[in-house]
Amino acid sequence: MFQIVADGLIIGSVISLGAIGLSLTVSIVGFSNFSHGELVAWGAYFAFIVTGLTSMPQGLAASIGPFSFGWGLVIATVAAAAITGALALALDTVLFKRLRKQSSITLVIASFGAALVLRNLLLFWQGGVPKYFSQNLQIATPFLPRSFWGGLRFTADQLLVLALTLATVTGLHLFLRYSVLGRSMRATAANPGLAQVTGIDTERVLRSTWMLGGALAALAGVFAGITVQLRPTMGAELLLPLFAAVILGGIGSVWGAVLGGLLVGLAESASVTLLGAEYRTVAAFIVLTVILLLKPNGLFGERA
Amino acid sequence: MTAPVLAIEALEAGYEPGLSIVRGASLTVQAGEIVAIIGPNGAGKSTLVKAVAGLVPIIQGRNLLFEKDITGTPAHRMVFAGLAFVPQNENVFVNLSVAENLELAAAIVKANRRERLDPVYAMFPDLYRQRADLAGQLSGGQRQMLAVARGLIARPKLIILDEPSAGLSPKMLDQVFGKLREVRDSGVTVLLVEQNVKAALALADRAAVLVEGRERIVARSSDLLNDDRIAELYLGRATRKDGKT
Repeated sequence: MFQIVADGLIIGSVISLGAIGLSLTVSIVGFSNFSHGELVAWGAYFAFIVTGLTSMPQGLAASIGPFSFGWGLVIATVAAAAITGALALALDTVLFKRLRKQSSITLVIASFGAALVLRNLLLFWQGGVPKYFSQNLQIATPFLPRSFWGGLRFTADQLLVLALTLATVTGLHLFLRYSVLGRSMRATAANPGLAQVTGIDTERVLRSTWMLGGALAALAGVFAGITVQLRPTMGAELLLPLFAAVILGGIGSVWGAVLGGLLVGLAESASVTLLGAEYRTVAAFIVLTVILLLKPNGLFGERA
Repeated sequence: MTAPVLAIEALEAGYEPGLSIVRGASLTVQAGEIVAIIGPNGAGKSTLVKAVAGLVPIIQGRNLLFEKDITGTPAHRMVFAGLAFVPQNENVFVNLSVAENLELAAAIVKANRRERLDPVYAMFPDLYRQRADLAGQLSGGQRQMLAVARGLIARPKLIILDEPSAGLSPKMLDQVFGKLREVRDSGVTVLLVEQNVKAALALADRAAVLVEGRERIVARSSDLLNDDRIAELYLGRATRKDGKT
């Protein structure tokens, strides 16, 4: 019972981080980007490659304390966030920006195409065999005995993922609420024309949004890689849960995306245990349907 | 004579190439004036001021702000050039509080918050009282006041308003137009587009009548009030619209 919740929170953390980035691009850039899941996958693989490069110097590959990975992965995650941000920005510059004057449906279809290209390039480049950041086996520490409601176990990695997700989300919330760029992002999401006459360079805001969304996607990808594994199709598998989380929380809301991500994670984890793994995605959408029936704008939705 | 605040020179503008909505309009606005642009629906009044503000592509002609060419300056640079624009609809950030709306405008021009907000609050005491409320909760008139206040934060030389009377009750209209007089008296030149001809002519020193994308008449408001051509332009339409004679 507790384990279902714990597993749900871990899956939910990854979904939340991906969903925040997606939610920001949907609300600020103004279309549903179906290639966002691929950014998660590419981010994970970028980190994987950088880890390989940084494993040369002695010590960087050695595990830090109770965790399965070394400082190499920490450096790699920062690098992957920057590279994935740049990839998202490049995607916008060569593709989305040129189509922005068209209807949003055109952009959605274009992002579908971009997703296919990115996914298959990754498959071509890295192969279909799953990869792992670390070959070290981690033993989960029991927090509750098995006799008590089935017990509760966490690995150190899982706890770190939870803590870092919380820290990232809090930081992001403060950034959007108090920084000039953050406020400019919210203003651009609400009313791009008025943002411009107020003196906000909306093109710059859009570029920042892509980079931020890409960086958060990379973080989600690394967390997915740490807690599960790396597969070229991991982005495609995450896409529907990401959208479910964004819609569930209300488009444009950071805390909404987090709560939506956690709820989708919990639904997935519960259905894996109670119904079987094949019902995972179905569970997420049942939760989505029920909540939208009760609150059509999502949990934190500001607009219709 | 000193240089005009704004000189619009033979401006042609429109959203799509080959489809000009503004067709060779010219107008000068002198320092300390309130100038109104009036004219029948579809004359291109809004498009003209949006083109000046950098929101509509300019096909030909140019705009000078204090003799400095601002043609092609992106909309988001206009506040730095000294021009504030208040759009007709959705002219406040409804998801931000009154204070946040004003603070954002101050932050964008990298100005001290207190130094910019205090004088604006002094001019709009109602906004100070409602500073913690979401802008989306304000009444139509207060919202218009906030939109004007937001424009003033950047300390512009010229403020352009696109139909400030839209959707206002006659009482609110009086208040908003009263504020615009105060704005002018504080040293900011005012250019506005208006559908409400009577109110516009009562407020403005001069007015330009725009017809089919060009200025047909530019004259002192007091002269225009008794001008037969105005009656002709408007009453013809009003008759059809209301079904009266």
